[in-house]
Amino acid sequence: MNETRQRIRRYIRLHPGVHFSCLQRALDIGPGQIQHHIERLANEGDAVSEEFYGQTHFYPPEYEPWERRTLALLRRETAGDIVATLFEKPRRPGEVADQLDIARSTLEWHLDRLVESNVVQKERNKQGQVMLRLAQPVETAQLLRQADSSLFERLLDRFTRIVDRLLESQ
Amino acid sequence: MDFSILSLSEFHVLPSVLVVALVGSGVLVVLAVTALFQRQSQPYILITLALVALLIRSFVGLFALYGYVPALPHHVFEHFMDAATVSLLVSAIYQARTAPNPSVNQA
Repeated sequence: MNETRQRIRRYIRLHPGVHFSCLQRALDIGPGQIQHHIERLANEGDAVSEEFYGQTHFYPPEYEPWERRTLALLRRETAGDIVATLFEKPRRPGEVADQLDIARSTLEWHLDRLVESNVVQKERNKQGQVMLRLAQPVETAQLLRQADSSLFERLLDRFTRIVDRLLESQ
Repeated sequence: MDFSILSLSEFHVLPSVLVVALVGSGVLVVLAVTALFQRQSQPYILITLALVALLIRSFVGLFALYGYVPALPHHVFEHFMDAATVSLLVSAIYQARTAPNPSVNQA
């Protein structure tokens, strides 16, 4: 295999869910070349690309659809923080928001996506209160360890956290 | 353009200050626009517009420094932009209290 393609393949293996632009910056390869090699890798079954929320991510071939989607979600710092509070035990949404010191609107925005992708489940306890629990805790823990985010993603996540706090209506 | 109110050292430091303001407000506008695409709510539109006003203000300052915009209109315009920024932020905060947010009430 071509050396550049090997490098791209190795990078995707080490950073599953990486973006096109991150790949370009990290490996210092032009966009045209990356496009070409990614197509070859995909044709040979050595990489999978999938678009989530307007961004194309690249994964090693053995990642299943649920894992790919979850990994894309966990690149958002706050989504990772929310998931991390649920490893120990199911919690009430208010408890999670208080523990992370985030606005309810921030929590609900991330929960909408985490619930839709079956990472978190909402269920009612005996008292009829909504409880949040992880659908697949072991797999989610493994994916959370692999998830990394770019500087821009971290800034964006923190920007929305601050704005939601500013706008929070209580 | 009349920069006689500035001392020489102030005059020399001004371009750097304007560039810092320009780059900083540019980063904020990119973040705000991306966040707006994600959230698609009215308060986010207003906050984005407030930051765009801040960016325009820095642009006008830089243009004025190199004489593309005359001094007096530039001052009036900048104060107008201040008023726009403040109004947009106040209405964003007001909207956050009044705009219904069904998902929050769900849980």
